[in-house]
Amino acid sequence: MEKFSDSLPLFTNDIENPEIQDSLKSLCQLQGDQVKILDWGNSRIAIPIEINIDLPSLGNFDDLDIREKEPVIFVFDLINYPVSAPRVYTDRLDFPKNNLAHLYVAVNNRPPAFCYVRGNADEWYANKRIEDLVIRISNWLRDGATGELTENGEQYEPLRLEGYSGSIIYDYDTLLTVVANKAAFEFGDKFSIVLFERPSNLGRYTYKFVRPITDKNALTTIKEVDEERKKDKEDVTRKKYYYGYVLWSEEDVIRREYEVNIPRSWDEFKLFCEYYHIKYKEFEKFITTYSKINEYIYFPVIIGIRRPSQLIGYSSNVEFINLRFKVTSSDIEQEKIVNNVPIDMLSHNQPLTKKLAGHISGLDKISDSKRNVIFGCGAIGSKMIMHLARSGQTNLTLIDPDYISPHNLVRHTLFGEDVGHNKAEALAEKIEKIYPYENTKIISGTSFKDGLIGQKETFEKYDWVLDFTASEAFFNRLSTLRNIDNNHVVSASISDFGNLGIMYKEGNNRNPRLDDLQVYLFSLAENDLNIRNWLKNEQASAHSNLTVHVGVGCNSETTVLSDHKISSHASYFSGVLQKEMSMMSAEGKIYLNRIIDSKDYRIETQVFNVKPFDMFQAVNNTNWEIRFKQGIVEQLTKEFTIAGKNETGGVFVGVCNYKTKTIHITGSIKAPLDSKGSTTQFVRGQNGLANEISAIEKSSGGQIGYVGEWHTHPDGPNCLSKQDMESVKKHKEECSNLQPPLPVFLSIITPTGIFPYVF
Amino acid sequence: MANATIKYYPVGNGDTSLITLEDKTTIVVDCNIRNCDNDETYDVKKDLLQSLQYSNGIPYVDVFILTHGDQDHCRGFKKHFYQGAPEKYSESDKKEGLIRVDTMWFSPMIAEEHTNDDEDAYQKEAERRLSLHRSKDPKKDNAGNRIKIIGYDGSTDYKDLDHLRAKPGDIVDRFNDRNQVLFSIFIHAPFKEHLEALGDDKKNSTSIVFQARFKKTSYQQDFSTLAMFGGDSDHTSWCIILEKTKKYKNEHALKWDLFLSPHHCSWSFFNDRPQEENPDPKDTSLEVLNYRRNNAKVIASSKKILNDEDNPPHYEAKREYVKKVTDGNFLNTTTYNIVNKIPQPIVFEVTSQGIVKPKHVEGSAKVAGGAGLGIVNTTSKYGNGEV
Repeated sequence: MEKFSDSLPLFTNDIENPEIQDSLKSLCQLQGDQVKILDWGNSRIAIPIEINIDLPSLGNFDDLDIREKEPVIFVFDLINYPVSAPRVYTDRLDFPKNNLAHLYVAVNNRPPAFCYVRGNADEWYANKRIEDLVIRISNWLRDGATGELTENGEQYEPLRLEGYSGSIIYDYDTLLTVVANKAAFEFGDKFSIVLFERPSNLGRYTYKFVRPITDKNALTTIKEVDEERKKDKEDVTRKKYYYGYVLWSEEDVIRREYEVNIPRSWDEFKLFCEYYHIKYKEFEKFITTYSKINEYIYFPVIIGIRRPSQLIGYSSNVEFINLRFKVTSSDIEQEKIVNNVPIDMLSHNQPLTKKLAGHISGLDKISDSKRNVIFGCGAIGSKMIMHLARSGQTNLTLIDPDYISPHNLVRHTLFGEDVGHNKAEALAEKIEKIYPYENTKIISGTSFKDGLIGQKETFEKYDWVLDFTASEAFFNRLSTLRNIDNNHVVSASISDFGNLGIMYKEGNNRNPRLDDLQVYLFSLAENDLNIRNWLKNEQASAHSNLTVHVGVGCNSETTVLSDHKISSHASYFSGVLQKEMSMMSAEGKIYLNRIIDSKDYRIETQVFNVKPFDMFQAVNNTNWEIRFKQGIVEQLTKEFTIAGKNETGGVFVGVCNYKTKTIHITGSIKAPLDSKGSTTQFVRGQNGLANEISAIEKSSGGQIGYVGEWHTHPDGPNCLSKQDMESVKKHKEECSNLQPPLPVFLSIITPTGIFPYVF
Repeated sequence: MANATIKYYPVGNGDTSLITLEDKTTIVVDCNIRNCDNDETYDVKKDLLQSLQYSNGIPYVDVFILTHGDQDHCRGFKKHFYQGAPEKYSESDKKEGLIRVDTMWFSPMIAEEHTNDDEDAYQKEAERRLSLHRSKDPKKDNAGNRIKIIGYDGSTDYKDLDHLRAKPGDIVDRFNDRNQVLFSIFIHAPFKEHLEALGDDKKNSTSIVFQARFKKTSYQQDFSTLAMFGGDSDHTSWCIILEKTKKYKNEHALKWDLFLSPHHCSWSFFNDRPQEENPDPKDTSLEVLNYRRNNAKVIASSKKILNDEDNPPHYEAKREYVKKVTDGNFLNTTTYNIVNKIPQPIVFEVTSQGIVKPKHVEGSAKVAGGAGLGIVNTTSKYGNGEV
């Protein structure tokens, strides 16, 4: 049998790389014999060895000539081994290379190499030994023999190519319409032109698809290209356009063979075209006649050939071979290319689509069909928006009134070029560039138009309403907004000097609501040391004792907070949000991401499920709403029953918010022991009460305290008595002199229910 | 999906085979699970626990086929497989690794004479299930209560349970309440004539005999792999099988790529014993072997085959097989592949091109020893003291 390795000279130098020596020893052991060391050139040695293959009992797939012992060549890079994995080539000149997928196209008259891993061979080899590679090659050949080399049996594996000189980006399906549906003008039989653009001179050669030339857009396109050509070459706005040529074969010309010789010159190209029945003469005439149509000597040429079945990963059986020609005026004479001009290969890249992005992110399940609105595109917002957008969710409305300032760049996803730009608009532009060939549906603006936010229909088209404004005013606004009852509402912010990320997710039918969740979180301070310490810190640092820094205003240049902390919170919030978007929970949720910035930097998270609050309107003033944490109303009813015919009562703790006209009740303190109840009267005592309230107040950093009282009327009436009104009057005197004043809140409980009053 | 596999365990003179389908359905054919107290016995139970599927932590086999009740075909059934109401499977059963048999295949004819505890256990479990079906118990179709009757009745009448029955000539493609598109079983035996058979070898001659048929795609015409299982069936059984199968034009059911030689490579497949008195193989037995396909293999699930008096395995039987399939395609479970003195199972993968040995498994550049290492489990002495 004639072997390729017979043509290689012996390697005569010393092998200094100890890892290669080691691997050669292993190969000798496997072969049970010394191995030959040959010179592959280019500082590489070639080791011919024989691989044993287990063949299937009923004969090889397609009668492929794969044998029980296959000679192969292992090629080692003398300098970079083992960081650079060995290349493995077949050593048989008659190896059935044209019928096997997963072979690299042969170059330089060498046999084709096995494509033995799907990804990067060097990465794979980092955790493998030479013995494993031998096994892998044996399994590769076994797969070839059993017909399992293409993992998707029904589909056709596209050619594996290497040695690209650049890349070309187009959507396969779009280009397919040129071939299959004649979506472009045919300048010749099965010959169309597509406009490409080279985005920059940096990096490697990349052509980006712009549009196919049709009879409708031909003139405007030519004009557009000419105008760009007229611009000064130094002009940064000047676009570099290229006319690329697409040629394809007849529908009935189907080639099963893997053509492992991709044309590398004009002469080879002509043979290649003849083999695939592609008419190149009209193309040759066109590029020689209109040689000046392209400004540059390089231009892309795409050949569409037909395979017996659908290509793996693509929607049809047409495989595109992407080439780059180099033709100068000296190569042309009388409508002919007279020199054997060189041809390179370009690698094809599919432009990113939202669907692909979702798939790559593992988030295919999340639907992008309904629009979400995001308020706040600052540090946290921008990061979360990009997480959504990069996973293909771009059906977003971004709202932020602010403009990028230089200091924002410390924590924002945007870059220096965006300084002065509106944050929402700049983000939207960036996202559109991720998906250049798709309608992202993204909308951006500085704000909703006046009054629009309160209108009934405004939020109808939205699914999720996301608040990343870090604005307490907006938080209050959103809490009481009436027209988002059918939306899912989330608010996320950062507190505790950037170390605590808090995300609230409302429950079904907005109960619990954002402000309920916040109060609930504060009420946990009674039993949760972490929350207690946080609220105490906030209290100590606050000027007025009732303001918690729900967000660190990044507009202030003095805010000290690192980008990585923002990212930590944003990534946690995004994870939570993606989960909720794919499967929404019914209950309210509070998610905490706590950074412990001590000697050992740590991050921990906590999740709280919050049940719906019980809601009442004040009997005497329907503007006020009373919202009870779950369990309290039950507790009151129980105490009412226990007291029987006697009146009883107690004290409410919670918080009262003038802005939202809401009193939140987070707990009820039982009547102190010195209280007295009779069938007609209840005197609420005071023993120990102050201590109890003080403890609650202290633990919550002043967020929760005394808010009102309750007592029972076992036989009715459902309204305040004269005696009650006198107490109200007395309390009101004291409460209105407080700074800020406290409304007097009194509830009576009767056999028919709870009747709250707010004065 | 991984390819279907057929595994023949090295269990000395005895049979234990595991069929694993592409959808992970498992079928165990016979068992001869011996104690692994010596160093040269392959740990079948351990491998089964690694190969089977689990439901809520309970290891289960979809179908258990007992070809017949001889000790070397059901040893260990009582100890290693769960018997009783499946809902009573306990945590301690789980700890012991008792394998639940979701569906058992039961031949009433082979259960006539009780000779060993394992067979009794199998019979008792079958009767428990049959009575659930007979009384139309609501739990009768739960995994662990399912049963399929193979062949004809002996002294007990199961006519009312005919819907659970498959007879010779039937093709079964429903296993453990799931239809299979790529796999089926053609049942050859036991047939009625067996009822009248007499003699000591009655149990052997009434073995369940079947052909396991694999495809890779639903639209392919021929089979990718055909594997014949025949318990301890003898030449008279095979003669009848041959005759009946041809009569009903089912020749396709005679073809094979893998032939588990009956009765551990016994001469009884070729002719009556002792071999010295009946040295010529029956034509019918040779004809059965002629239904092999390309590169077909004979598996001898037996001790090492020596030219001696200790039979089976019969050296002469091996010679007859080798004449048909060549030496390279005659595989003995005891000698096929020995690692650290322990025989390893014979495994074949089903591909569209027929059977092929499984792929070699790649290692990695990083390695750490496990607790099972001999080094770990023996003392190691060091030091320079005098010996």
